[in-house]
Amino acid sequence: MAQVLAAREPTKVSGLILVEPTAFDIAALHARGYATLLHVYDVALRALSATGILRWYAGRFAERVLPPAYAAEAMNYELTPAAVRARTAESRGWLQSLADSDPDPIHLPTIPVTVLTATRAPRFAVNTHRQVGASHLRLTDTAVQGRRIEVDAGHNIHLTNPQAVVSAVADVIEICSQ
Amino acid sequence: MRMGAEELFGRERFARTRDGRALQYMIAESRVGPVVVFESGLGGAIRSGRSFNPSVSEFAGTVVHNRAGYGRSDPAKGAPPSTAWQTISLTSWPTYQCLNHMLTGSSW
Repeated sequence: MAQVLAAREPTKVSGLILVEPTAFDIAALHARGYATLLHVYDVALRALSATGILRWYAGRFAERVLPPAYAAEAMNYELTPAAVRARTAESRGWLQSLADSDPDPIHLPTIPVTVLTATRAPRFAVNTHRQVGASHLRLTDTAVQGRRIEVDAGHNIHLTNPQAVVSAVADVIEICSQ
Repeated sequence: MRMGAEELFGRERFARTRDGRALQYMIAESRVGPVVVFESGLGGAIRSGRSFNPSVSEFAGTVVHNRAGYGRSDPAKGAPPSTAWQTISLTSWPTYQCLNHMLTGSSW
C-alpha cells in the first residue's frame, strides 16, 4: 500500500520504511490455501463478533494475551463489529488485489527505502518466511536507494522490537536531510 | 499509568475522503522534523503505532489514522475497497500535501 502510494504520488513521499511488508511477488500468497485460511479466519471472527463472544473474550482475556496497554484499545478500535466488517472487506480487497496483481514490481521513485525483515520464522510457515525475505531483497535491490535490515524478531517487529522501527525512521530522515 | 490516545498520538482530527466519509486521524505536530505517516497492516488500527509513535514524535511530526470502519472512521460503503485506494484517498489531507513526509507501512 505504501509502495503504491509512493509510486503514484512521488512528490508527496520522501522516504519509505516498510516493516515486514508483503508484496505480490510472494508465491505463497497466491496459493489457494492462503486465501482459504484468510477467509476462514474472517468468517470465524465475524461469527464471534456477531454473537458478542469476541468482546466478551477480549474483555476477559485480552490483557493476558496482549501487552496490557493494548487490550483496552483493541476493544475500541479493532474488535468492534464495524472494525471486524472492515477487516473482512479489506481481506476481500487484498485477495482481489492479489488475483489482479501485475507481476512486474512497483517502480518506486528515487527515494530512500528501508525494509525491516524479521529473522524469526513462524514454525508452520518456514517456506513462506523464506519467500518473504527473498521478496524484501528484490525490493531493495530494485529501489535506487534501497536498504534491508534484518531484525531479531517475529513478524510483528513493531511490537517486539519497536526501537528498530524508531531507528529506521530516524536514519531515513537523516538520509533525506543530507 | 496508561497513556491516553492523545498523549500517544497527538490531537484527534477528522478528514473527509473523496467519497464523503469521515476519517479519524491523529496528528502530533513538530517544529523540527518532517511528518511521518504511519500505516497499519491489514486488520490493524491506530493502536498499532503505540509502541513506537511517542519515540518518533520526539524528532518528527507524526500522523496515524484509522482506515474505514476502524475506531471512529466511517465504514466504507459498497464494494470492498482496496487498501491502496483508501490510502490514496487520504491525500486530500491538508497536512499531507504541504509537508515533507515519510511513510512507514507494516503489513499483516
